[in-house]
Amino acid sequence: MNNKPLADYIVIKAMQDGVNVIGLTRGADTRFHHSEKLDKGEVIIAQFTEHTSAIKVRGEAFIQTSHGEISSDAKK
Amino acid sequence: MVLATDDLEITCPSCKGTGEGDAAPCEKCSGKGVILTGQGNTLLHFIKKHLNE
Repeated sequence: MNNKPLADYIVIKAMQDGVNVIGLTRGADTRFHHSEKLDKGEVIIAQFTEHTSAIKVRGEAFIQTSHGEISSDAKK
Repeated sequence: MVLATDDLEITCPSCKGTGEGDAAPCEKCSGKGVILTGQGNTLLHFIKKHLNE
């Protein structure tokens, strides 16, 4: 039995201005269907949903997931 | 509150805003070259809803 009543979600904190969080569609074709721009210090809590099967983070950010924590870096 | 273009849409990281992919149009952004943000979608839907009033 699934003990998680809610779908998985991740927490993203922007460590610089202009971090992009992009949602990719679930299904046969993987398109970008949504984006959010975060400025330094802003946090977004994003859930994997019926429409979103992948999340892409661009820019320097700190990310927490149920699998652990990871940092994304700014493009060099 | 002032909205910047960046708050409404971001450039598609796949086609870099051209809207063209290997086999045009860019399949990641459906050829638009940009991806709308939550605020962008909200504003677009609001204007569409009230445009013909």
